[in-house]
Amino acid sequence: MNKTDDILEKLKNMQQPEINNPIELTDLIMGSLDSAPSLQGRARGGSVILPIVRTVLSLAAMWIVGFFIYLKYEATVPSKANNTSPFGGGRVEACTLKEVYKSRFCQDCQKTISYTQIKSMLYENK
Amino acid sequence: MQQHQRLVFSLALKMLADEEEAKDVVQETFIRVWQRIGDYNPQKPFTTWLYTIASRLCLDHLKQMRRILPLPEDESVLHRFANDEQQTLENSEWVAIVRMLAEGLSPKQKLVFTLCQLEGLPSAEVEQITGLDAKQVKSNLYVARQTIRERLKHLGYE
Repeated sequence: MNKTDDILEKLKNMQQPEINNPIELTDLIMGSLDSAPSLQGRARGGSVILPIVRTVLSLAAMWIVGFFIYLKYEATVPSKANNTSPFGGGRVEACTLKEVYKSRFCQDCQKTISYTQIKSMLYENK
Repeated sequence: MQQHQRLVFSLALKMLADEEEAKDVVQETFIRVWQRIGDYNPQKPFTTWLYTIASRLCLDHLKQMRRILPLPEDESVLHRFANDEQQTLENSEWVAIVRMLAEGLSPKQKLVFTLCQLEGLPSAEVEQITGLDAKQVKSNLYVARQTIRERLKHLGYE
């Protein structure tokens, strides 16, 4: 047997390495094991909450979109709030948020119509 | 548990040549054992399963670590080991010897060499641990031994 094989054989029969502070390492591992299931639990808890949050947010978004469509529709119908303009020098009589929105939409409609009318008048004059 | 810790530590120290990294592997191995205890097949030995997890973690650590290069003082440790009738080695001596011998080995060759040669496991168990077939284990071990032989020859050990 040559020196190389001798070294390899000697290494094989050598006593295995020892951990210097096995109790400390065991405590460290046990501590890690205690926190490991809680991490899984948190992940599991998160997976339950997420669909609920998504559903609530989707419903809220749908309600807001529906509310705006409804307001837009209502704004075309003449009402008491339509007669007042928050920016046109007149006093705002709207008391609720709904009425403020209605008057705002109506003002936009009126502005569009008057602008179109002015434009057509200009073309007519040419 | 401490007996199993020692098995994992021994493998990790020889694979990674770093005591702190080896302790990290021991810790990670036991966490993984705890988390995946449902995957354990009781018909197979527990130590084989433990070695399998530890081996994969060692290979992962090896990828993240910088290349392990021997230090100038490692040669004197190897020289002392080769010429004295030492029966035990300090962890730092194990690290020095492994650093000297395993330089230039691929991670797979290093794993097969460590399991077969340094841990003294039978080939059949090494096949189960590494997922390699008999031929692959044999060829990896052969190449590893040849590389180490060449290295020792270069250092003056004939």
